Amino acid sequence: MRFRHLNIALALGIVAVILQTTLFDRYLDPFGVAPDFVLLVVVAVSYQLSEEAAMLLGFSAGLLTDLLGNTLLGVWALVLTVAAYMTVRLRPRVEGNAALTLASVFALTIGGELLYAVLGTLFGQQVFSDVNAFKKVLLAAVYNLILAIIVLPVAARLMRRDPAVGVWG
Amino acid sequence: MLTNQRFARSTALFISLITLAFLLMTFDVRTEGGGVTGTLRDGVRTLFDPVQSAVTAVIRPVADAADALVNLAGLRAENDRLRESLEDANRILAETESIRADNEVLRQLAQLELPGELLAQSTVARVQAGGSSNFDFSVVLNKGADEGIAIGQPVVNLQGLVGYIDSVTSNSSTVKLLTDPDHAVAVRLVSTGFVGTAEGRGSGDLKLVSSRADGPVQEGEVVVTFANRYPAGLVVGTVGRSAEPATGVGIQTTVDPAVDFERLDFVRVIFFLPGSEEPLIEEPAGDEVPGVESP
Repeated sequence: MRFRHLNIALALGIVAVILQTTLFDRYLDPFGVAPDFVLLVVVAVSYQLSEEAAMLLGFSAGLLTDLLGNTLLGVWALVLTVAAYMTVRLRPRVEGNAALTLASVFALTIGGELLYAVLGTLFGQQVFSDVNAFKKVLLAAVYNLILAIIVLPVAARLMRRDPAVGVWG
Repeated sequence: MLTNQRFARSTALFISLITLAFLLMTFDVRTEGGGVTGTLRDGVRTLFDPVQSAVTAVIRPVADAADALVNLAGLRAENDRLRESLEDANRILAETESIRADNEVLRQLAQLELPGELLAQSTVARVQAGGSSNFDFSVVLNKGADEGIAIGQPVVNLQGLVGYIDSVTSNSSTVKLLTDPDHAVAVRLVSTGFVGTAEGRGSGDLKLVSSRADGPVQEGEVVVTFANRYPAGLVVGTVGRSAEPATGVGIQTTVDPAVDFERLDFVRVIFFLPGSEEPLIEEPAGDEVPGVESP
């Protein structure tokens, strides 16, 4: 059961990265800003995972994002690991409350994007030289908030926990 | 509720993953994208190229059709009385528009006004994927080293300069776009002859700095590449706003890129390498610049 869930989680992570680089960044980017779909999927799936599994998913999806993109290797891996960790830590506080869950997606997206910008800048990438940096962070969070209405239930359904195991892991 | 043992285990994993990520970043910076990380990147990209191509092949017609339908909605408001008779025609148009537009772009790219030497030593490629985030200013092309593409080669489209090849695998290549904040290009203003640099600002316009300018520049003045990383004379864009020189700093203004980076599709990769002895594009006279379409 554990491996089946982990496989589904990793498959969702891979699908998210592919959709981010093909669909969202090229075709679904209103006002020139795409949703941070990978972060959204990591957060949505992490709500259904144990702390360890969520962090491994975040790290793997982030590493794949780094490898397929043109960014410094490890930045997204770190950002998504932190996002997954924070998601699991927030879960007891937001579980069962749709508004709080959506608010947490919004906050985690802003936090993740800002962490990326800070890390990128520390490691020599001129992220804050982007004149639209804050617009991008805010719009990506708004888009994630909207998409979360669909993605969160889908992820919950796909990752449905086994009642016999309880909280996965 | 997590037990103490489990909390310690997950904290240890968290610290380990964060440390590993920092090590990867440090290693990638020190090797400048080469070495083991470069090999790893090439391997993963080679593995995912067919997947990205296949997904794009599925998505593109749907996106084009949706685009056509959005435009159709706008036309309906203006042409209400013709709606019924137009519906069938527009449906067919939506289906064929994508193919027709692709053919037109390819035909024009084949006739791009480049000197014969550069046109012969170039290849047309198509964008198969975008960047991995809103702060990744790159696109992935569907051709790579097998087609003669190498790091550093300039990439243009019908509108002007797109960027340069930043990394290559056998079947794909990544283009660093002109708008990347890490990207700067030596430029020359066509009318005044001032030279300077145009730096990416993430999105939108570029920052133009010409410290040696001793006269004003006018909005709309065409900006082309100055021989350095790129062949001279490739269209970069037009001056975004007029500016007067200031003592000690010359001119600082903006350049509106000629290329619409939101709609990149077919591009031409020129087999020119920085510092090579390849023939340069002949400097245009007046406002006649290669890549600029006549109104």
